[in-house]
Amino acid sequence: MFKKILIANRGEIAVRILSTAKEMGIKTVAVYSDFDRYSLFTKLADETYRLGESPSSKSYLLADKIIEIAKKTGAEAIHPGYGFLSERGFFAKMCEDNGIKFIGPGYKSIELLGSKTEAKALALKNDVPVVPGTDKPLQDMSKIKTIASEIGYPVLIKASAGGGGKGMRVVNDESEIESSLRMAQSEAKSSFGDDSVFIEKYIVNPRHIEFQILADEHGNVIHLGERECSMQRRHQKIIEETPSVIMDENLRKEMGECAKRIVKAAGYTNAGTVEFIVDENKKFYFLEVNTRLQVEHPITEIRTGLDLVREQLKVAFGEKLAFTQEDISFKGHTIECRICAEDSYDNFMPSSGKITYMKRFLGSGMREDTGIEQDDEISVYYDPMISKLISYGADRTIAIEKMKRALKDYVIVGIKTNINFLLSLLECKEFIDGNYHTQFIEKEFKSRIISPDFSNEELDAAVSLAAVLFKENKNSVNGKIKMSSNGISGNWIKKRQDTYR
Amino acid sequence: MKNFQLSFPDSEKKSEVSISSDSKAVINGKEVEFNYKWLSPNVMILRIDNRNYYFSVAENTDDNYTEINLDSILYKVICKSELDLLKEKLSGNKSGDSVKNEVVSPMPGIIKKLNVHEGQQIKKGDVLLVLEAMKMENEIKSKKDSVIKKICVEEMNSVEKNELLILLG
Repeated sequence: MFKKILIANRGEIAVRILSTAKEMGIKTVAVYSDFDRYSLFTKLADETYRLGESPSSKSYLLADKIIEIAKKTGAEAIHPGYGFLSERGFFAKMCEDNGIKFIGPGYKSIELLGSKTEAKALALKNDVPVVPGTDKPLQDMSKIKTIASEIGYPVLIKASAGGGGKGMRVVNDESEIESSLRMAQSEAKSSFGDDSVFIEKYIVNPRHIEFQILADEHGNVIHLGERECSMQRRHQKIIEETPSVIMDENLRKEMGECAKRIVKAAGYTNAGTVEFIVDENKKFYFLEVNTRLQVEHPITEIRTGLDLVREQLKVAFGEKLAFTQEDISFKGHTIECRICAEDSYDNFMPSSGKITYMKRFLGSGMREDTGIEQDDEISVYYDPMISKLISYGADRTIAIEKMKRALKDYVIVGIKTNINFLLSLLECKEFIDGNYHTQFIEKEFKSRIISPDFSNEELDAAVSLAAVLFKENKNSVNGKIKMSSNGISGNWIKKRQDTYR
Repeated sequence: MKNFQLSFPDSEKKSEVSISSDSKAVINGKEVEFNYKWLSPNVMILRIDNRNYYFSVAENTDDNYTEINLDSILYKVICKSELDLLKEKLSGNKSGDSVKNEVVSPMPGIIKKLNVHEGQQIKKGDVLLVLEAMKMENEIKSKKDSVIKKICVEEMNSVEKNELLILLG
């Protein structure tokens, strides 16, 4: 096994990778930005090296510097985590050119699957269903019109260089197509500098279901079941679960085989995720392959009993998978909730600042993945995820009950979070029935927050007394309270301003 | 004996608390025994007649209420002592309708879009502008019915936390 690896990431995923590496007796090198100088992941590593200033373009995206540190420290391999350099083919190639193992697929697979058109063509060639549409970027209006009527409305126009919903338009019939196309193209041009678009059939109320794949360097590919990731807000997953409520043995087998075929065809190795969308009649279509470890990988780990980071390291070292598809069994139900620094009560406004108090009571069947500790700050430089809570139960109901209990007992002070929003999702009928899709939150979910029950007099009395005691306490130690209710030090505000200048 | 009057902005309810000693209070006419411990300046374990409550508390200085978090549910409370009420009476200021006229930036960011113009009538909940921060677009909404008196920023301006964006009139 490797003797030493470098982790080219930060936060909870760096912590996640470090913990497995340490368990396997592998020495670890962490790299950090100025903001992360004393973040949890840097404390857990054997060695730490500064990359640069806080913005990721001046730190976690500096491929040259990361390679240089790996060589200097004698790290034999680099784990990229997710985000940052994880899906950049050039970085995987740089690793290879410098004799460092990239813990992930080869750069050719990354580049092939990173191109939406090439990935789609590969799927078609391997009998994996794709959403009907064009496989070449288009700019010409009359051609787009012809194709749209061939596919049948509604259709979706999306920027070929796009992502995150930008440059995307749903067109319900022909009368709308010209204006929608113009808007999509201008958005695409301003966001990505490229106004070519794809056009495809628009799937109404789709589910997002993905399959975890493991592939070794000896031609063995297995899947580890599905993850239901349809609970999304602004195209960001917030609750994931496995198994999917709509899944049955036949569908799992069929989708799993498709997922395996496409990664095999791409010469893929290591862990990866094949994403599908599934329509209301359980027809599924290939979406894309994420050529890295996913944020939501823990739910698969819990349901299969495998440590995916351990498997990644073994595969990267050249070992054969120690099990076959038939050896994989699934147990119980798991759910993941992403706790983010955004205000449930104020339109999900991102919340930054210092966490002055943090306590949680996980209890049985719960796992937490986080890179945050009390007294840490949530910065404006990186994504706003604080932690991932993962619940496990013998069945779905128990998993939901455990998650709700743990969320209620999750106390975090100093910043606003989406915990209340997560609770209201877990309590809504559609979630309980498993009857939701990727547009559910935007289109249908109305309640959004759980309001206090003012009819409970005992509770009212307790809240009233707490308010009085807080007021009295504040008056007695004035300065101290004032500081913690704001929670941001002057120095830090100054630092943040610099990045916007 | 210290007396307090409380109201809840999200409900019609009001309540009254009188603290008679370190461990005795009368809440809405009912006498209770309590004890408590601060776990941090904002976190408290409170026991009322042996019933447990694990609160975190924060002050919302913008809107002048206290936010009390219990089981991840937020209670907004306005708490006034006898002295506060007396002061208000003397200054002639009525309680409850004191939402500020200054709309300030909640975080550093860039003004992506201005949705209003000076002189425009607005309603509570109307989107005034879109602020881009932490890679997300955030709608800044009006907290009351009012008129746009002055707009202090332009589209694509960078703003700092607490920078004045719009003055309502």
